[in-house]
Amino acid sequence: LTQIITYTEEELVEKLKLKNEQAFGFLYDHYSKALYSVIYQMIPHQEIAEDLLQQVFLKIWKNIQLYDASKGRLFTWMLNIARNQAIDHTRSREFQNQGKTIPISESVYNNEQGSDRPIRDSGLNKILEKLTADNRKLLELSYFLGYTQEEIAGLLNIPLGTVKTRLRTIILQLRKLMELNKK
Amino acid sequence: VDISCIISSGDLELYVLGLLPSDEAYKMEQLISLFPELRQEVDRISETLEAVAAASTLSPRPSVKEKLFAAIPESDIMPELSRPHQDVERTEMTEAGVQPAPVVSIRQNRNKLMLAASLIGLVLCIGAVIYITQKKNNEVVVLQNQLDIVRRDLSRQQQQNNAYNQLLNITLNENFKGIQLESVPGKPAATAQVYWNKKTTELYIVDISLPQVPADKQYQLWAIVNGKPVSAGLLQDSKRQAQRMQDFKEADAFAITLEKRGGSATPTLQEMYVMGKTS
Repeated sequence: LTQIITYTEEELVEKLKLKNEQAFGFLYDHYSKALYSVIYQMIPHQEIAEDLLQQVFLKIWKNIQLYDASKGRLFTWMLNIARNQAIDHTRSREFQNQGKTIPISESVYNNEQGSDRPIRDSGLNKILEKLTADNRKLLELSYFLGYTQEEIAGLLNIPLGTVKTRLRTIILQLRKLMELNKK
Repeated sequence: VDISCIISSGDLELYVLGLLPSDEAYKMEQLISLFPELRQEVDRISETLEAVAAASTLSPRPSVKEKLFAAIPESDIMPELSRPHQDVERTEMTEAGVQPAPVVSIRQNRNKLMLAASLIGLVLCIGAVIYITQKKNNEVVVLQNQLDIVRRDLSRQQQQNNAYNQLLNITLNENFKGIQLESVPGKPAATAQVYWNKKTTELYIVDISLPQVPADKQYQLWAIVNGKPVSAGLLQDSKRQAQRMQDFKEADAFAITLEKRGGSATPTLQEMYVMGKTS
């Protein structure tokens, strides 16, 4: 029989810091899908994305002591580990040589018609299709592709300050969408 | 500090996404820990992003979790000190709409590994047992064969012994009369003896020493009764010790001829080898 245990975030972090295996199992079950989807959008290759996800969770396990709850949610911390892992991989020579996916510098976003990079994920598409094409592009670049503010401004040909204000609008819009989805 | 201004700036979004330059990120960290409103907003941004990612239809394969847990050094894991507080409210974790999944503990995985290891051990054991058994079986087969040979020898010895006993019984029994059959002129030297018990009419042929016969021929014993040859039976073996033949009440003489295999109704006189009279 499988045991179903739930934790508050505080409890979970406390147990993870004590290197509790059950808590880590819960963490994985609870967050692997979201982190995987973030990694996969950056590196749409199942095996590599899964390998990176494993590395991300190993980093989380090893570095949980560094997580400071006063700076933000656990997911925020893990999200940044995942994105950095994926970005590092994308920029690694090994990855460039593999040629399995397109490195960011040669991304489809670099050319005019490539602006609609297909996201092969019906679940994400269902949400993202509610955004305007420009906003969707901005979210994908900032959230799923790990582009910097400057890069995004350059690619979308908008002022630097506009990137973050538009990002704010998008988040508010998504929040409403997710709340509607919940009901 | 104007909190609402920070919130609406979009800097918090950049912070959550890790897109702020490190010095600005550091400043933002200080502000967040100072102002609960900012922290609250950062958490809401994080929750929204999490919910978007969690809406994905993609999932890593279950093997990833197994590999992950296998990659954790055992020394890293601390035993569970206490059960989680079941009564603590857990709205935070369920808010994202994700159902808590069953927890498979690393220990369970380790148990699986242990189980796998012991299964491998068991398989090796069984293999060894089969190998040894096979080897022993082969030895047993060899011994069995040797035993069979010994048994056959023994049985042959016993038969021979029985034949000797029978012969002895016949020759020592004074009711049996021994008749020596001598070779017929013009035929190779040969001999045989007939023991005949007139009372019981039993007739035996013993000490047969006749030339080897071709496969299609056979020696046949004849009793001459009132001047006529009557078949007393076929000899099984030209070198046999003793063989019981047809009973006879009366006989003037006995003779052996070489006949076609299976015998003849009348003797081939040219092929008579030995002969002897009863009186």
